[in-house]
Amino acid sequence: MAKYIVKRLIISVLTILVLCTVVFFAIKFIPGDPFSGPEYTEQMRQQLHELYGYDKPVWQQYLSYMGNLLHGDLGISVYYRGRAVVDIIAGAFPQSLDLGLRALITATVVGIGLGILAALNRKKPLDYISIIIAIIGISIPSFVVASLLQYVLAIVFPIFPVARYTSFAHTILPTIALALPTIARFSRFMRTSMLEVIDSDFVKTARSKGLKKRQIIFSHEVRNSLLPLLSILGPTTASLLMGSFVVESIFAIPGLGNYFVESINTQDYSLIMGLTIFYGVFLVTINFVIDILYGVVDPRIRLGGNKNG
Amino acid sequence: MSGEKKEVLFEIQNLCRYFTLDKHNTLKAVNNVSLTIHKGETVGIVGESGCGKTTLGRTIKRLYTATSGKVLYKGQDIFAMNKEQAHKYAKEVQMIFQDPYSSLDPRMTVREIIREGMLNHDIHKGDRAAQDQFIDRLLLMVGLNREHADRFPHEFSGGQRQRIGIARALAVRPEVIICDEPTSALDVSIQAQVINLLKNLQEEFGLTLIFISHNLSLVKYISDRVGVMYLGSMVELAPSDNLYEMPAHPYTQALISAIPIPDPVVQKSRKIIELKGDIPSPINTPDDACSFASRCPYATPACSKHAPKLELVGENHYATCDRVLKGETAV
Repeated sequence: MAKYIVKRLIISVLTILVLCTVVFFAIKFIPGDPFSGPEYTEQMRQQLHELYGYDKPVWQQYLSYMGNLLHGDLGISVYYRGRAVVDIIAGAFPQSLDLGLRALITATVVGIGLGILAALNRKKPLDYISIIIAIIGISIPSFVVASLLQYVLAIVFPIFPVARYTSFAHTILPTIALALPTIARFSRFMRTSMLEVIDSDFVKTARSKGLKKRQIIFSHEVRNSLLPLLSILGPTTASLLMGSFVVESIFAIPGLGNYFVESINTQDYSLIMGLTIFYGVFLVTINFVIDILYGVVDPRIRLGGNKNG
Repeated sequence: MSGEKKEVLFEIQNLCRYFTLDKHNTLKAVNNVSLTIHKGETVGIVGESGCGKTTLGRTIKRLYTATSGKVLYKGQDIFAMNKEQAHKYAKEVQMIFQDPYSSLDPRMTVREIIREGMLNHDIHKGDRAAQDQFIDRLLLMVGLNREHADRFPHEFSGGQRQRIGIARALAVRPEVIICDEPTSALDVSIQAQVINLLKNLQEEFGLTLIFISHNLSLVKYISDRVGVMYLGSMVELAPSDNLYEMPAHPYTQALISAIPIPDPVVQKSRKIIELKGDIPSPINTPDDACSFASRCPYATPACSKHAPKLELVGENHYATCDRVLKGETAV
């Protein structure tokens, strides 16, 4: 197990390294630069290039960036003059994390619950209702869902506050808007996986033991159905916690989502790099945690191939 | 074991189990089966795949409900039981499944698998040490050892897994075990071990076995009486020796003539009855014809006009064939 963890850590670091390199060179190859707008004169542009070191060869820039990175320095934002990328992330991430966690928990509980109910009521009304929810959740884009929620539940019927993110009541609408697609996906996954388990022989064994229905559902069917869900949980968690541009914009939440889009639009080299690395590290870490969870959920998976784990 | 004066355990009366596929199609998996099973005996059920023998077993176990007909267990209709009686029935009648690879929950250790049934049926209630001891004893009994208890099913071979399945079934102190092709997924050498194990355990605990299989030699070896199923109905029922020596129904005759004999001289000299065609589809089978008429070498137009009933043709020997009843066939 320890050997496996060390191995995974090395691979993780290498993954991040490759990610940094690819993204670094990719953004340098995009035509133009942060100072190519009409408001800059040729002279200003040259001065700024010198200031940020963009006049040096790309490989030198790369080496110095990586050197700074080792010290945890993600550089200074180009667009948001004078603000360190680390500060921008530290300031915005907590809001995104908060909203993301709420959405993740909601989506997991509701999605899995809905999937279980649908599977247990196969081809009955409840099953069809869950399909309708899933189709709505997957096919309607989040800006429609978010605006609709806001319009109906905050403006036409002023039950919830329209925007901002200060009290519990403020969190409800954005959480629903953010969680809906994930609810849809989780419920479909869970239904399929649960149906497979329901038909399996060991469930017949459980029934032939004379177990109560509740016992069969929870200790055999649900437990065995969760595994496939674990594999989509990693990327889903990362994308929820990293903030959504659409939902955060519509509900005026000062989260990270906005910066992802803005940094690309303004070709803010250091912010793009910073956010990408942050996202990458986050994703790799979560996948790492989930791989270890696999071993907990499924005893057949012995990490590292060592027979006694 | 001759079962005449024995206590009747199961009284299966005209049991039917149909599966409705859609508006116009019904699959008659079990059609009008009647059977009496005595305490302590082993009844074998044989037939081709798709003949309804597994469905029969599962219906008796109450995993399916009956479409019509009754199963009386100790005089009580199992489909009219209240919750408590059903729970007791679930304990007394256990089942061993065909596929030992998929019939054990992969997320549970052997100990958990066995204990689950015990907890549910209050065996050594509240006393974990006694439960553990009992689990160890069960494992020894089925030829495993106590170190195996904390492993997961995937660490065992097929034969070992089937032994776990048997230990699991025994853990709740059942009276009846329904064995649904318990050996068909196993190697021949392992089959013999598992069969002998079942036979020994039966003697030790006075179990009643319902043994479902398509392997005729195996069924002959283990069973006191054998029922032959074809297309959902029981076509012949007789004491094991009788059935194999003097099969009455043409289908049984064909089946038995197809058992390989491990003596090339005898094997060459005997007559093999070959059945033409495949087993017909069990969907929408007519109720007013002999189910075997389409493939029977002796079929007459009369055979397609009415469905023969299981009737006495010899000592304890029942068959559903008009020819036999009229004495036209030398059995």
